[in-house]
Amino acid sequence: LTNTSITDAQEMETIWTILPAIILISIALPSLRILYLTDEINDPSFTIKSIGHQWYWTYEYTDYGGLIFNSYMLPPLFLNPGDLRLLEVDNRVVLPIEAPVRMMITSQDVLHSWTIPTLGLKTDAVPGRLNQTVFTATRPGVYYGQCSEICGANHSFMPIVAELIP
Amino acid sequence: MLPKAAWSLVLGKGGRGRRGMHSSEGTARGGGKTPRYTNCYAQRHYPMPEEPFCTELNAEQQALKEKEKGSWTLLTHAEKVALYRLQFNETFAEMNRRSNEWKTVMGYVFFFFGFAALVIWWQRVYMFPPKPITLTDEWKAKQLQRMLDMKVNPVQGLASRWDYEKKQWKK
Repeated sequence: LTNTSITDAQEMETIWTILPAIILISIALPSLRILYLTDEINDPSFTIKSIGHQWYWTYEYTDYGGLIFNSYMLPPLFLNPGDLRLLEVDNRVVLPIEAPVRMMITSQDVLHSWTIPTLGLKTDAVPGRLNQTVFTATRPGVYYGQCSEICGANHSFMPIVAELIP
Repeated sequence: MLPKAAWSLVLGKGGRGRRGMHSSEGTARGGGKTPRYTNCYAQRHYPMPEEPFCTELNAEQQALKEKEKGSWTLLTHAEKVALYRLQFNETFAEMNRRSNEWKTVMGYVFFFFGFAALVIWWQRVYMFPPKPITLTDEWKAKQLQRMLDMKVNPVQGLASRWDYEKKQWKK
């Protein structure tokens, strides 16, 4: 490590630091552009706000008038026979099928995550930030999901139920 | 005759055994960590101890040691064995012998299996809350019927395995 013929090569070292940096930047910038180009273009016809609290969800339908309601999990004693324990809620999110729906998701206290796996949706609810996800469902039915970001004692007990109607 | 004389060298006074003659030097380790053994005991992981096993030799043994300084071809078999026993406390075969420790270990293991089973049984009887109503058979049947009516996972999952015309599971 102290051989004099391998020390003091400042010029070479500068070149082989700067040149790869230039090469990598020239790879990265078009790549980022392509990444954003692959984002789909939708034109949502419907916007719903979903706000996570500890430990329930609030949905706001404010496109045409103001409808705001909370969605709590149904305790097991309140279930109808045949219902799914820990998944049923009192007020479901009712959405239309075959229409692009924009969900704006945020939180009022801690991190949550609004998820419906069968629709391929998972978006974190970050306090102080508005996240957006757009989807178009094709089949009617009832779709279940559960909060996917640890948010306290009842994190497992704040499900999401979407009722998609034609 | 001669072998007996050779063996008497090893046994020392009246069969007190080899242990009476071993070196009682300090407990510098031969290679192990336990303080039980001194550096004249051979162990499996350190088979060549630094000190000979017997250092306090009586006259006969000293004579044998002198004889050892000569040509070894003059030593009889019994004398060679006696010299080995002076130098080492155990032969390799004795040192590497098996023990019945595994039976003790397995006994403890099974005992704790049983104890754990006892604890689990007690918990089930005295501690666990009652199962939720959704785990009864009739609830599960209604739940399944509801899921089939909703056509849950119709492509590859549950509803895809139910034949809706014949109202039975697909074969």
